Amino acid sequence: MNALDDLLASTGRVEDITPDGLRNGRAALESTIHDARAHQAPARPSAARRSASLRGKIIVACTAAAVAAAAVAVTVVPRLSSQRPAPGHPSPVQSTAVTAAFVFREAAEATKADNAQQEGWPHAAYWQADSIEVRDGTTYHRDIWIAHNGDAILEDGSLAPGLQRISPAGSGFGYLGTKPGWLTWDEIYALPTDPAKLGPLLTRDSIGLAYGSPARNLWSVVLGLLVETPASPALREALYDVAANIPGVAVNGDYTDSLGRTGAALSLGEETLVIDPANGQLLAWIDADVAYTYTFQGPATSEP
Amino acid sequence: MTGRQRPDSEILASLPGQPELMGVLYERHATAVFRYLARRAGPSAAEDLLSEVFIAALDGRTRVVAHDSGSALPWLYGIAMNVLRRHFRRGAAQSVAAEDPGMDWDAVDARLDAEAKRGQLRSALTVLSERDRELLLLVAWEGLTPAEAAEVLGIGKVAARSRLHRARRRALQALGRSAPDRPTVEVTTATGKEMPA
Repeated sequence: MNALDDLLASTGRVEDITPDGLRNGRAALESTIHDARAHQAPARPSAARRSASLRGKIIVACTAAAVAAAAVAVTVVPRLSSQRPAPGHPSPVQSTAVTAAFVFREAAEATKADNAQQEGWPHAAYWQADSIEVRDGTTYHRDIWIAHNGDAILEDGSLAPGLQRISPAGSGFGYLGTKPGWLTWDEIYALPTDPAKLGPLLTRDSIGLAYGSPARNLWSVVLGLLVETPASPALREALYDVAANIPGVAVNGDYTDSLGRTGAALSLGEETLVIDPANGQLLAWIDADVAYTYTFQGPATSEP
Repeated sequence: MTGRQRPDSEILASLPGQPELMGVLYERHATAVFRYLARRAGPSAAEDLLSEVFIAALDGRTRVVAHDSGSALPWLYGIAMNVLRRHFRRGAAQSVAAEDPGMDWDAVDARLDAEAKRGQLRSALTVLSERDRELLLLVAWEGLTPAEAAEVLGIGKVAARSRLHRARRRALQALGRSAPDRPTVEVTTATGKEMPA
């Protein structure tokens, strides 16, 4: 450090934008986005058709509206109450309320119990994640092979036909507000698997995101670390534990994905995660009017 | 992977057909773009201009190419720089435009009054050309790498490094101290991150 660095560091500090300022900016942008989409209207189904089609292709036990609703708890989901009780947690009883925290803790315990390879795959060559994407009423396949070191290979019908090669800079994992760019494979494995350490770390690292609230920022960071990442079962368990403590996450009932699997839908803001509490498996992710069903996530030895 | 969890590079590639993804970039980068604007024009003007940057980005979405780093921020800062220039040229900032097309010094001075740094900052920065000053500040205040800052300014990466080195030396001299005699220097950014200058 010298006088110039001292000066620039101290004079670069500014107050953050106010929540009202952030909302106003988003509102102004939203209107322009709406206009831009309207100009593309001939190529897209109407909003009503999109909604109906989405519901038709993915059988949503809880409707899209219900997913977006912010009820903190709902009447018990019968399927959940029939699951084995998680060690240390009471079994839910019919007609009691199931909280998101309960679902996440059950999933965390199942992740611990059902996965022998707790340490994960720190040395695998690729992480392969296959999914079915429903966007604007159209179904696409999205398969990605993310290299431990090197380019990722992506096949995503909603982006472009065929395989695309993506540089490591554009194909990392998760997204933190305090780090420009994405986490590397090794950085994922450097994250603590103790929820007591992981929670504060991710809370701190979600600062700078602008989803509207600290809880929403943390929710997005946690989801980003669960999907299309080589996170070890131990880390996934810790992430579920962290998610269990995010205020405002709502259980929106059961969700049956396009493969007929049923899980619990957990929502905050526009993002919904569907997990099977019985085994901790991530089944689907819904973001506004886009839904992804994850058909495979696991290590791979080579790209396609 | 949902839009919210896609890397910037994928979002930029998808923007022409999916303009709604600009909302994701807003959620991800609005805070950083606001800081960029606030550092140069003050917080009040920055709030007014923030949406203008993203709306201009939406208009230019068919022409964008992601930086090698994969981040959309260099592109957004480049747009923010142009939005600021337009703002300073407009009637509300006529007096500023006559003095400096890239910085509202009244707003900067007001921000720094409490820290008694206004005089020092002016001394250091007003000896630089607008481009060199912006290069220095993109690295120091915005935390960009020299290569990313080069893209914002439309100059080569090698040229950016040598320009940055010269700008730092000149600014240091203006502060009344000689530049350290070493080939490279470390810059500590406003976010506390260190990177080679």
